[in-house]
Amino acid sequence: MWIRIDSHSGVAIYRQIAAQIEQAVLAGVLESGDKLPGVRELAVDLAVNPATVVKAYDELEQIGVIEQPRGRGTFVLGRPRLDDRERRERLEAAAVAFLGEAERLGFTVSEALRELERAAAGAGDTERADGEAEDHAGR
Amino acid sequence: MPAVSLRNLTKRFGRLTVLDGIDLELPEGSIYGILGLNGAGKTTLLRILMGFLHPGGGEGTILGRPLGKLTAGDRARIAYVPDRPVFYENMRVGDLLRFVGALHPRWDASAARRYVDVFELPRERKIGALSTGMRTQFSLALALSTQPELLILDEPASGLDPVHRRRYLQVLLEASAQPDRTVLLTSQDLGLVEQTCDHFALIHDRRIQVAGPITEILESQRRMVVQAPPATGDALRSLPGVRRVRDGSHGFLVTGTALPDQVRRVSGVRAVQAEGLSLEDLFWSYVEA
Repeated sequence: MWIRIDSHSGVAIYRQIAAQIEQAVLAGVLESGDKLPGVRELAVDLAVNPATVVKAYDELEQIGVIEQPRGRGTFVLGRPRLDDRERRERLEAAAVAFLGEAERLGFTVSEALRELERAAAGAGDTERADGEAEDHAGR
Repeated sequence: MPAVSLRNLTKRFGRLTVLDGIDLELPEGSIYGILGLNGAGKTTLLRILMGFLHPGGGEGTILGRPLGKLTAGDRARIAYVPDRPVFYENMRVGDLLRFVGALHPRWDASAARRYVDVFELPRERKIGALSTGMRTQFSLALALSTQPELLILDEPASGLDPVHRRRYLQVLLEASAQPDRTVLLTSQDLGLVEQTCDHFALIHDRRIQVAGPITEILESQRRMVVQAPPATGDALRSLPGVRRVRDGSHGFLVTGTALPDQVRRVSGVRAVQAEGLSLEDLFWSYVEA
């Protein structure tokens, strides 16, 4: 399969598997009704523990991306159905990743937030914005 | 019944304590990874299990037998794959297979043929002329052909290139799928343990710091980015379930089992964002704590 495991990415392997299948569904690479490989087959193919694949499939089933009718296999259902709490958690995770990257680059939280506002206002071109600031300072 | 059970195991070499009060339980059918830095006592633990070393204190069972009281029949149910396997260098691959096959009571000749084919091992080549990767694979092939109930591997797949490593792990995982076969391996390779094992234990500072099912442990812990003034550090450190607090430029990075809501209630804390842990994060949070 096209799933790639990166054991040094800092992301748990079952999350990597679940995320890549979810991405494939969102991108239309996998469609409703498509059959996914069985747990053992995928585990051997990716050289990961079967429990990891079970965990990834269970997570995907919980958010409605796949279904696993007993003994018949694993099938794609459709795009993820997230409740408010899960949507909130995903937004939080994205925010943490963003702030973490800003910190690694040496920016403060308020600088990062200003950048976010700028991006939201459609003025994502930071170079031009910085240039303008310098112009003002120079006068 | 657990495949291996250890209680309060202790090992000293002279005045040096290597293992101190080790409790360990390997569920039957599990693939159990022991993590630790160099010199953490991983190999010593395996050597005690194999009966090569006597424990100084504590007790345990292997496949239901008391530690150190294994009969030849018990030993035949256990296979050990050392870090650097030692063979009869002048024998050919095929000859050694016949030799071990004639000696081992549980030898499965058809399995041996299958593994030699899967690893594409040259039967006519002298063992001394095999590459490091081939030796590693041959060692696993021999161990699996004895149909072990307990397979013990010290630093498996070390020294293999990515292609051979993948095939090695695939063979190992496929052979481990039998519910009555338990695998115990040691590794410094966090990726390998997270990838292949369902259980793990981390040995550090002579003791087991954390042990159990990998996904359960990863889900019970988290890393939180906490926005709070510098003076909040001590309060965060003393919060139950907090193992490590690192100062960041605009707050703290908190790791442990504490819940985000508990951290939010600490006075001074402005915001808490939680994210999941990988085995690597977990490892460092114990080793650097």
